[in-house]
Amino acid sequence: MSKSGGWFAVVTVLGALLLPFWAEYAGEPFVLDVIIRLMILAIAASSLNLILGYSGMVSLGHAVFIGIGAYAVGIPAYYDLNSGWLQLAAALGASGFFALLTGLICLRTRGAYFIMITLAFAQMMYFIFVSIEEYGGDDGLVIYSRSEMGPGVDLDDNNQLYFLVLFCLIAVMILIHRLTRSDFGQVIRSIKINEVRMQALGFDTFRYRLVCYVISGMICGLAGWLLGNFTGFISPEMMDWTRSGELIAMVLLGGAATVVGPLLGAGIFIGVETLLPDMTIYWHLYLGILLIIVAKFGRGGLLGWWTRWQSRSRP
Amino acid sequence: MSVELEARGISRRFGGIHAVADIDLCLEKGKIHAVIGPNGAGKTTLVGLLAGSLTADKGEIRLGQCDATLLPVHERVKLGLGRTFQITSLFGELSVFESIAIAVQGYQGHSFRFWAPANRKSALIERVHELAHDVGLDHELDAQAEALSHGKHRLLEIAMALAGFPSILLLDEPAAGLGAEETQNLIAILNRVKSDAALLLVEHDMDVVFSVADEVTVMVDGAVIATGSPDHIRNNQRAQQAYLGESGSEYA
Repeated sequence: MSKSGGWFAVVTVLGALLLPFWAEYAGEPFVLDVIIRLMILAIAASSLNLILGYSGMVSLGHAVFIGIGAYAVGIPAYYDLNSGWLQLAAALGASGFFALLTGLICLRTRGAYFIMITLAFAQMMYFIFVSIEEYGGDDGLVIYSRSEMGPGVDLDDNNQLYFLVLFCLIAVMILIHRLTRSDFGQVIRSIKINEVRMQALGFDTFRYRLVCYVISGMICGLAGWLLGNFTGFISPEMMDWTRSGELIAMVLLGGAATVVGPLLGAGIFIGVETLLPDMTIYWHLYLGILLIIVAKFGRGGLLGWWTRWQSRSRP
Repeated sequence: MSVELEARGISRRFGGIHAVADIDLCLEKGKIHAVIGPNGAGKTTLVGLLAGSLTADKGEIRLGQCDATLLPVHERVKLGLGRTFQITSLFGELSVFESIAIAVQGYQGHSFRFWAPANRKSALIERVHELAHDVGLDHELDAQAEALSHGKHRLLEIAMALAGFPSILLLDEPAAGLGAEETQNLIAILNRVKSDAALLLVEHDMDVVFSVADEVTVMVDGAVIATGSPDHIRNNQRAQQAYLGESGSEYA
């Protein structure tokens, strides 16, 4: 990491740590809610980045893992099973299992076919949950009690939930930083560049892409577990394909195949979503225009634009 | 001399075209076996069948003691097979060092190591330098692969193929597009490599073929029309007709 990047990270983390105290002092608890949502979406976008950015697989069904993670809170809570560790294990286990199962099929396809088949699997889950009346069908399910993490931790306290989400986000970003620079990461990135050559070098590329897909799904399941706790209300709509599209937008806006990009992208997305509706009801239009601009001119997203600008201003 | 690769009666059709028809081939350690023939003779298809990127419709392929007929590419590599590509197939964005390093990594069994940074182990770094030295890319290690000249691309291809200590090496037109000096360098490399491996050399450059090959096979329309020592092929009338002398006849 560059020196300025390091300072930027320190300042950001310090600011994030102090934010709840400021919010309380300034009487703006709403800000905390916005930032929690931002960080959860950043975790989900980071997980998508692992397959989209680093491995070059565009999935249009990634939000399904958010839904699975959220239902892993909601369904146990429905039966008064409120242990957070149990729910977390269920979220990671179910999303990992779903990724493994669908990955075995999806990953045999490429390009547009991969997009369509991930979309198909996600929509299948969507309609399965719509059809389960017991868990509210398409009306969704209210979670009356947040996960119980043991003595001393109370997630009903928004500040504590905030710190949990912050901790998870930092952990995920460190994990992805290490992962993408490890032997495994080197393999994944090289497969993206030239899969045929990787096979000729003795790599069983399918297995590596499958493991990457499962890790990605599990991280997104973690985001779902956090989101279920945060919103206290879950519905099939969370795994709708438009949600997956938003995750793609975040990754591309911020900068694919970078550790910080998805966080920046989630920030831009939440910023637009929070600020613009006050000014115009057609805010989706402006988000669309922003996406077109990034797609046309901003290769590498905001981060790519920033690094290019920096290297130009330096002699 | 030990037989490293043996193909018996392998065939492959693409629709109505018999790209490779009933070919027998034997590669021995310490020998360079050249395959020549006009464009479209099925030479690259043959390489694909041996490497496993294509599967044979008929026939049998043995690597060492193992039946490899149905094995996928990466498992044939584990049995000691290495290859280069006719059309340069590299990792453009990676540096030369990283490109060779990933090839070395491929030889070291699995790469399911998720935490420690890649390319830091001294054994790996040493091996990368050794391979770069073998082909003469010592000074280009930091260069981006796609920034190299065509000749150096071909050398990088070979360095990557050699990373796994292959006992069989399939080279698909390694001399294509090389200048005279680069060609001499390539010939020197091939002569060095062949002491440890069995080589299959698909090549259009007859100077290269006749200066390094221990055995030559001539392919036309997917079939072998002649096989034998370079001298034998030079004097073989069918081979000459098909390829060597009267190149005009195929357009007649």
